[in-house]
Amino acid sequence: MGKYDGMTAKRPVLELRRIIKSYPGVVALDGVDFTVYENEIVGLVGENGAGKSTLMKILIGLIQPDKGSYSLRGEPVTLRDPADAARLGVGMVFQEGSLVPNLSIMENLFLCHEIGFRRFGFLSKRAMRQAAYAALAPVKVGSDLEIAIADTTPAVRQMVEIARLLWLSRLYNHKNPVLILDEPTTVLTENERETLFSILDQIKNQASIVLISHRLQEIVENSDRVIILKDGKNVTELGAERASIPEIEKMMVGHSFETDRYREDEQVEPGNATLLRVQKLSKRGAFEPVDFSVRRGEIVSLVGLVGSGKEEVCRCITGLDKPDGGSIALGGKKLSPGSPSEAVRSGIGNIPIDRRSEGLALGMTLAENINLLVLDQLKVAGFISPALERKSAMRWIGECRIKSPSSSTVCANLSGGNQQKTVIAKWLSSRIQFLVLDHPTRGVDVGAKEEIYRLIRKLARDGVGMIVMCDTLEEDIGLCSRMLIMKDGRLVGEMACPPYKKPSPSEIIGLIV
Amino acid sequence: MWFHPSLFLSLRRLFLSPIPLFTPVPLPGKILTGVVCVSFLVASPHEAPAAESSPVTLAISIRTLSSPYQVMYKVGAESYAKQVGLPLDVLTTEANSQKGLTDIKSEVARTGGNVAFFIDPNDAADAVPIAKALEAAGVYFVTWWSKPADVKVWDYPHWIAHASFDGFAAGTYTATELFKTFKTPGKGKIIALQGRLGDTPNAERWEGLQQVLSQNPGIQLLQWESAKWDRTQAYNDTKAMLVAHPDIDGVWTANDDMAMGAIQALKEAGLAGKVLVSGCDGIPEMFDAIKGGLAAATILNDGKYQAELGLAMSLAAKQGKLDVASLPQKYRQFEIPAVNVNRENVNQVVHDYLENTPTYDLTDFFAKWSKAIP
Amino acid sequence: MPNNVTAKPSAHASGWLSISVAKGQRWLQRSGIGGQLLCLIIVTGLFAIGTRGKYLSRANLQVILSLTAIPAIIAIGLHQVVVLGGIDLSVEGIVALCVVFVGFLARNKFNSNDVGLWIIPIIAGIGCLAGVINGLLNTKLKIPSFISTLGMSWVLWGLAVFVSKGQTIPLLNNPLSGFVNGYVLGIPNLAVVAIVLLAVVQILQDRTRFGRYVYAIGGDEVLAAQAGVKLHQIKIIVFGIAGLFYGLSALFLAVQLDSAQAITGNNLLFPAVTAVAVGGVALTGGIGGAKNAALGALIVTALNDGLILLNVNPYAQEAANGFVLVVAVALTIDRKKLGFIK
Repeated sequence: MGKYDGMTAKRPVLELRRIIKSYPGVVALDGVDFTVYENEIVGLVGENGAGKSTLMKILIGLIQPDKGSYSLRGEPVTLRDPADAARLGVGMVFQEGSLVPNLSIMENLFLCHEIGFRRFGFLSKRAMRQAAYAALAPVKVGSDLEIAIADTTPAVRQMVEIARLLWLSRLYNHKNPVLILDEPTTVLTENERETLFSILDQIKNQASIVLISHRLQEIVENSDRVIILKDGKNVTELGAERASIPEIEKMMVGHSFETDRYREDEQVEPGNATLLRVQKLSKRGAFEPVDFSVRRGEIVSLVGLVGSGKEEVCRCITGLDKPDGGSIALGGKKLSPGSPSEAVRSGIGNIPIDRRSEGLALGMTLAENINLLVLDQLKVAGFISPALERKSAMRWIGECRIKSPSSSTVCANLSGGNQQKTVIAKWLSSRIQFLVLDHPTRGVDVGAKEEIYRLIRKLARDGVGMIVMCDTLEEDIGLCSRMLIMKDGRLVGEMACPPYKKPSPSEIIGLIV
Repeated sequence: MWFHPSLFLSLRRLFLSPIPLFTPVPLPGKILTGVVCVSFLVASPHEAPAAESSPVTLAISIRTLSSPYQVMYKVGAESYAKQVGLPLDVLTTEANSQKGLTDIKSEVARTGGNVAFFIDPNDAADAVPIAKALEAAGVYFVTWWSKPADVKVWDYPHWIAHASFDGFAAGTYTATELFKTFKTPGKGKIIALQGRLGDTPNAERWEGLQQVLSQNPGIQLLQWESAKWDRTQAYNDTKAMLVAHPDIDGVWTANDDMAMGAIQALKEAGLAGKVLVSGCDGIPEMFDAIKGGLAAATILNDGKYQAELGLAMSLAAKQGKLDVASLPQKYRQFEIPAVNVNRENVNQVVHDYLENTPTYDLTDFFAKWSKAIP
Repeated sequence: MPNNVTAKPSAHASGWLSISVAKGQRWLQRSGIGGQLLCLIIVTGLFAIGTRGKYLSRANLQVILSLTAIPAIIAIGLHQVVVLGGIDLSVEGIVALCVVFVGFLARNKFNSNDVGLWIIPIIAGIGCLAGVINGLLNTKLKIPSFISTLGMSWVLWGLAVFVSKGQTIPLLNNPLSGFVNGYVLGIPNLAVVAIVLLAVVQILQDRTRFGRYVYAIGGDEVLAAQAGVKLHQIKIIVFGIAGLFYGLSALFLAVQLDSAQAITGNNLLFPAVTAVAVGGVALTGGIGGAKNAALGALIVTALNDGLILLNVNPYAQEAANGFVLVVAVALTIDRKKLGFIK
């Protein structure tokens, strides 16, 4: 896939030279060079705080650099705003999407550029429909054009955004538009991911793509070149065939990972005491009766495809859903089903997959989120004591190594990794007995991942029992001491994962599918 | 906080005297003022010696200036103020009881209590807090139209009187006149429009209609709607009712604005002049309608007279010329009749009351007294 | 669903009739008035039975149409502001002011002015100006529309009362009288005016860029701005159009009653907001069109007329209106947008 062999005759489309951008107190970009050539896919990687987002904002004209030059197709340009950039053929597909939810696919495609479709002052729906089909063909979206964007899947939305950018650049007669995709695969299923990359490969013939992702596997597989940023500087640029994941990670973080990334040496053998006991738990339409137990300090991985029922099992354990039959008991005591507050009170914590909407109160500060569950213990004479609050918050910020300007930073302003650490800190401080972790390192950069594994090991050492569902099978295998395999709503297998004797992914995959 | 200037001065002198009346404690300014105010409240309210150097202010508190009827209050008050050469303040409640009360209190504070009031309370219940406030300030006042039935004027020495137009008489008069216009006397069908259902005048007039109906078994009330005193609403409701009852002989309404709306609807149905309406209030357009044969009758609540009478009584009490305490109860709560207007006397009424402001004889306050309100 | 290339749907299916039926069904589904039409049919049916057919008599249908016209015009003006995501509470104030101007400028009993048919553009202009001020307050001064329009209502209403000194100004021989009270082919002229305005606005919404941008702003203002929509311009125009519609309504009201009073506009706001909500225009914005607003007005008027025909207790009529409003809002708002209900 995508071979880039040094200096060929490919022309640069976009060139940033010696870009410097500072904010009060911090230099975000310190003399960064960035070039995008025609018809290529460039992967851009770096830790949070390495300067990726600042660079992107400059690329599309959201902010201006303090120093440095920006040229498109050989001409220096100054971009006033993203609309300007879109007109010049540089566009970005944001993670959250920028389509107006109540307008249809067709309307969003051409928003603010419908002039060409006017007939006698009115918009011709027929002309728009024709153009829409043409524009959507390369991204293979064939669904009903009149559906409101809010009713489509994230995959479709992304495709529509890509189509819009391509269409806009054709409208303004730019030959080789530059599309920047920010973490495009976070919200996609396995299938959709494959489709995306196959489409990108085809689009390469008429555009250049900058791919930003934490998933180094994807970057390596799909890019022609990989550019690594660290601390606001270019570290290096690798051709795809020379790029390997450990190599890239080393450059991103500045030190090499121990081969033992999951800290297997810290994996302890759990005691014999059964902590969580699930008996004949079932839910119509989701999963059939399952039985299993988790011991104190044990990390159990629950693996399976989407639809295997593993997410629903976890939702029942954390009280978000009510099971139709069976029981859940923690420390011998039966839990009343279907009540998240009851679950929390009994000592079951939940680190959800979508920390932004379910795990954190984004509008509240770091300290407030950490202390959320233990406010009772921070009272003096009946009222919450600010001093105790701060003390508790600082303690956990230190323990979990959360990087933030202060404990009163609003959580929305923290990076993904730090947000996740905050969620974990919240549970750590409340001394729960059992934790369900749903994709704990999703959207978290490499350095922060390391630290989260460290925290998970610490939790296990403290006797907390855990069920994890990870992003990759490797992560599942590496973290757990035991693996439960689900398929089509049934528990089909169990595998021990002792340290240094871990099964390989291929052994497991056969059971999953 | 409101307090009479000379009383405050005397209290202040007490504080500054070399003989401490209570242990001198160093108090910050705010607490000092508070103590003064509290002690004033506790002290019994009494009139300062009548060494008035400044003229009395006349004040009226009415509902709004957007109603032609209410504007009559202002016209009458201005005329009276000019007669006696005193300043006049016009306060409007704009259907907000809270505002009404606050404005009255501010007025008292502003004039230092040197004011005489005529008040048309926004709501019957407002009469009580108003009475209490003015009583405590020692201000004389007269109220009109709305007060709770169980509250008695004679319990408040400064509440000179509460008067009202005889709504019941208005209702009976207009109904009777309307029924006279029917093709067959004593037989016919009517529809009716009430005003806002909670208002006292509405209830009284409605009572009047009901009584006349009971005396005329041949006349049927087919349907009524509440048009809330609003012309547009009356127009809409009449149009709708005419569909249900296309064959009627008259429309009784509780006020002239609604009557005008009903007339418009009748015009469109081609019934104007054949089916007449009746109203209350006496607005100029209604007189034109009566003259033009579209309406049967109305009553003129002489707003000008109301205001002039009220102010005259308050002023007299303030100046010591009227001894409120010696008035019999029947003169403290009473009704006066409105001017009845029908097709026969409409021109006369227009001449006397609209084209000119009659010079009212205000020497005998109770000249028009018709009956007591129990 | 996605990611499969499908050809453009064939236009040559089995016959013209079935295409039309299918298109009609899809239009109904998409246009969002299916529920309202059903509601109207049920209401009409119930009242028709209850009044033994009198509800459906020509006279009554004419009355319903004639009484719907003005609230419909107001609702059509108002709903666009709601689609933007705001609310326009200035109806009564703008109408009051415009009515008073009609009183002074058309032939009347108090002065010798007589601008004849020029009254139409003049009043439309005054209403539009008032609306534009609403828009400026909302965009340039960044005052939330709830507050700014409420404030404007009081200011304009007070101005109207002050200028007219609270008097009622009778109109004389107004040239529009015949039109306002007349019928064409049995349909009240005002209803025809409402239908024409409905069509104009609906086309504006469906077929012009301007209409598209209004929905974009209502859907997500930030994203719309990012896409290049000129927020301030669009908002001011929408408020201006609303004001213009209120002005026209004021003119028709005054001519209908042959008199101009500052209080003529009172009690117009609640039915208009109810109509907008009942018609299916979400108060959270981004959803609903002119046909929704007009249909809502028709349903509310049909309901009230039916209650009168059935001689339902007037106390209960008020309650019925309030109930309908709450139910309509509950069914149409987009709770996802609101997060926490305040």
